[in-house]
Amino acid sequence: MLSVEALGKSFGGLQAVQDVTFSVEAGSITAIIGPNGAGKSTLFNLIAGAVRPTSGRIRLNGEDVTGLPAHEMAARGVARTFQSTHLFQEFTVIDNVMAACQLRGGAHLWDALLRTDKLRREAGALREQAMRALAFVEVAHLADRRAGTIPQEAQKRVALAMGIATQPKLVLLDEIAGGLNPEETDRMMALIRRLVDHGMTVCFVEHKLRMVMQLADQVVVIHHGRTIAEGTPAQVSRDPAVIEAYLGGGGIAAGG
Amino acid sequence: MRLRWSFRRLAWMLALLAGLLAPLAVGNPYYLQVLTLGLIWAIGVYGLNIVLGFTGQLSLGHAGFFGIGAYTVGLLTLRVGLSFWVALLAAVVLTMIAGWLVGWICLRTRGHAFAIFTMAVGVIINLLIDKWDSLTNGQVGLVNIPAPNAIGPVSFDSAQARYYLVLVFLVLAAYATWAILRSPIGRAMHAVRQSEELAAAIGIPVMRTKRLAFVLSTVFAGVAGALFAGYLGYLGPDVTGVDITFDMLLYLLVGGMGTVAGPLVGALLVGALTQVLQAFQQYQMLIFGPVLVILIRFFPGGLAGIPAGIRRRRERGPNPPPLAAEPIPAAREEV
Ligand SMILES: Nc1ncnc2c1ncn2[C@@H]1O[C@H](COP(=O)(O)OP(=O)(O)OP(=O)(O)O)[C@@H](O)[C@H]1O
Ligand SMILES: [Mg+2]
Repeated sequence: MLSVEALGKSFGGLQAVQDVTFSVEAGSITAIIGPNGAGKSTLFNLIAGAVRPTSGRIRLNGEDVTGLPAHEMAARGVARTFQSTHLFQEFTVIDNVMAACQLRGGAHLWDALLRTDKLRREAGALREQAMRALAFVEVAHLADRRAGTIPQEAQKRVALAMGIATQPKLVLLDEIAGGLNPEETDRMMALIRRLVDHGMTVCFVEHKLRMVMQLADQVVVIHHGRTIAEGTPAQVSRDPAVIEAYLGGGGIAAGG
Repeated sequence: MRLRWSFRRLAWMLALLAGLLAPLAVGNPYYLQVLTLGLIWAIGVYGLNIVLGFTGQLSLGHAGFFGIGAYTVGLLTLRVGLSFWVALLAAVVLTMIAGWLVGWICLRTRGHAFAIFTMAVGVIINLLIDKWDSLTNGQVGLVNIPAPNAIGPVSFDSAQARYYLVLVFLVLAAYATWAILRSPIGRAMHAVRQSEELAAAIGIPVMRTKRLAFVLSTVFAGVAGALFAGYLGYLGPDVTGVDITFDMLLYLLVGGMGTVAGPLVGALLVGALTQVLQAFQQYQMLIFGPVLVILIRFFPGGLAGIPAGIRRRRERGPNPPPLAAEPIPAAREEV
């Protein structure tokens, strides 16, 4: 469903991503790994439309989506969470998720000013949808709390609920389990499996090897912005280039 | 929850009642004029509130759009002989177009650059009005702008009647602010203010949202300007000065950004304070300055932001719970 072809991005002189090619099957889980600064987050920014590529193509279900802005990628079914989890801190949890629900059918200015029936119906539907997304990630009980005041694990779940609320086909998770303890990580893994059960395709960036080994159907290893290996977790973990990169570039093996 | 909501509603009802009775209580025509002008500024500040308070974009060209509205009405009624109402409509359309164009250009920048760009636009509008003698009468300004034409039996020849006209528009401005704030559009605007990156990621068209806020803000400013011309009957280029923009900014800061009551509270309170301090003549800034510093130091959310501030403090509690102190029961069952 997603295919990335010879994708590249340079920031001034720095080639953060270069010549990365891989594709993702619908309904699969792909892990993207690599040492710190390898270009994983930049790759997600490129796919999600937050950053424009300097070379290469991105195709989504056959459509060329290279260079589309982030909100259009969201409209085409690409959701993402950020490495440093952020929510709209001043909003309540439910408002955060409702903001994401608005993508599918929102009211217009006239509806707002004249407070039409459509607006009322929409408001009810938005709330219902948002509650469903919150229930999916099991934080419905925090709906009315201000987003900045809830625990970290819950914040990560709300960030995920916001992604789900846009009704995506592809979900990009950038270190969603970062900072979680092993028990919390297990729960996050179960949640990611449920995304796939519900028909979503998942790509995730993670330093926790356990998660990569247990979840991923496919692993893409990136080093200095380039793909150095690709394959099943078992294949990749035996790959000499990968072992070399991790021994040379500061390990991930300790994580998780 | 319900109690607070109905308290708020009661406060608005009382404010409206006070607004309706004010001309009867205020005998002195000078004070009625001060009050009416305060309401007109408040309408302009409602505009600033949408672009700055909702979407977080500091627009410093606001007085320029106020001026476009005012001069559109002044010129069309004086020179072309159009009715005030037609001129008002033209003022709305014109500020909308001007706002769209300026927004289209300036919103490509962010933060300080946006503030400076819009300030430059304000200065350009001010210069145009000031120097284009043949059109605007330059420094002399426009005089004898006719009062709004009567609607059926309702004439606007008296200052009282014009006060009520302004009041109607003020109520509309406050209502529009409230309606937008509670709608998906308002939520999108506040989302953009908090994080453009996250807003875009969940599908909010950031640029379009900011542009809508900007155009709305200029329309509010234009309507305020149009009422100003119709109310006072005279007009000079000084209404488009940058210092007017900063006055409006001050009203908004004191009143409370992003709130429905803020612009009104700020415009009336600072306006009243200015009147009181006039007795101190050249020393008034000596008092005004510290009062403002204290207000902004202790009420960073403005006066209308006080209830929200208290609520937020209560939420945090005396000692905030440690991270992950909250169990997630459903999750435990599931796994
Ligand atoms: N906006 C930017 N401007 C300039 N350089 C950038 C920018 N974003 C990322 N980089 C650089 O690109 C490189 C790749 O960064 P990226 O964040 O993609 O790495 P990463 O693989 O996600 O690392 P980590 O595991 O630490 O999250 C780094 O050298 C980083 O400094
Ligand atoms: Mg990263």
